[in-house]
Amino acid sequence: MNVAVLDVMLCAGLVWCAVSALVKRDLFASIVMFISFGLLSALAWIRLAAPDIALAEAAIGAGATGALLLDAAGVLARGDGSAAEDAERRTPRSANVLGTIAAGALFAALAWALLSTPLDAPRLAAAALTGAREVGIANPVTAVLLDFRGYDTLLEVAVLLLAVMGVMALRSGAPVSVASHAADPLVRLLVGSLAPAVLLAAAYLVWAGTSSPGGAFQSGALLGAGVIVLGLEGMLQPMRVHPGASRLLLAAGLLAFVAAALEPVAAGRALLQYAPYARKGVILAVEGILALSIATTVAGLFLASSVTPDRGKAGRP
Amino acid sequence: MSVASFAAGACFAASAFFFVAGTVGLLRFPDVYTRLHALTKADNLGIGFLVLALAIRSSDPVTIAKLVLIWLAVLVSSATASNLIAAAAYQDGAPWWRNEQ
Repeated sequence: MNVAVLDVMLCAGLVWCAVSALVKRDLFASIVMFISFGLLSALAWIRLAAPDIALAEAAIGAGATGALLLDAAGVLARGDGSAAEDAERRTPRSANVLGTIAAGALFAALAWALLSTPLDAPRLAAAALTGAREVGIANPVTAVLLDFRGYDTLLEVAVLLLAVMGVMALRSGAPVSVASHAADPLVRLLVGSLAPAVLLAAAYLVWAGTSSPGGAFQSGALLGAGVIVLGLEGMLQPMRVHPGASRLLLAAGLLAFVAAALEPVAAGRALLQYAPYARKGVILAVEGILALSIATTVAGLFLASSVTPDRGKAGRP
Repeated sequence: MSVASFAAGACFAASAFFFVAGTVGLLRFPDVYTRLHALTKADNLGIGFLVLALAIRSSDPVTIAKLVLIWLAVLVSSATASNLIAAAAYQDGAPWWRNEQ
């Protein structure tokens, strides 16, 4: 009963945050509502007993996406004071109408899919749990992601790499400096002392991913967020100081995954059919390298696309 | 009712009081700085009493240690964030409230 009250409040809060994020005129207020929406959805995932998704949603949906949006709003506002309003005025009415129709169609399709699924439809949970036991990985989410649906994850990792390559290609040649304010000693102290804790937590998440909630995506998102904060303080600029090593790290996850996927083929088995005795080791190794790649991707998306005020003005005709 | 459950209940009540007081302060105080003051003071005490209440109810030392870690993390990040917001507001020249009487 008490929990039901909490759930109703959570659902109402989610809807309220979503509506406010859409209707608020002030871009900054919209973004703050969007971040609140991300945090509430993380709570909702916890209530749905999906802590893996909750971790990813809190780190990527609320954290990294929020930072990207705030950065973009900052660049728009710094332009000439009315850039955000200009952007809004330039949006043609037809684009808004088309967007509304597309969103409505997507909503209708999702609602139809949900309502047309019989309640007693065969579920995949039992199959996933049996499979996880066979693999020897106690966390069924990790077993699904890296073993018996590994192909999906492999393609997702490739998409992530393509996305960050796109962002880096859009960035014009000059190196980007991010530290836009005099470093605050209090923040430097906090960030500096939290960095080792973030590193430890990220390593723990990879290790824990085999038996409990966690894994490469959660770990990478956490580590990436840590690098973003360090980058904002100007304490760590991986893309600028070590461009070659950063690019290698970006690609390392996909390379390791492809190698792990092809090795069984060379040994005469099917793609991604790891040797039974090496399964756990291979999965842990791929997860570890993937976590580093995802961290570099998350940090790279932010630190590569972040624009200083001066460059923002220089790029304006 | 045992002493422990009475103490935990009292801590829950104190936590709720500080959260409500902090929220009222956030909504009703006149400028950025006093609002931040209400928010951080009350939230820290609210979380503190909540952690205390949960620690009393828990018998597992590892859980208690985790709760204390959460409290410390909230304390440090909330203090730093409000300091940053106040500094940014001051730099932007956000007006501050004076008692006119």
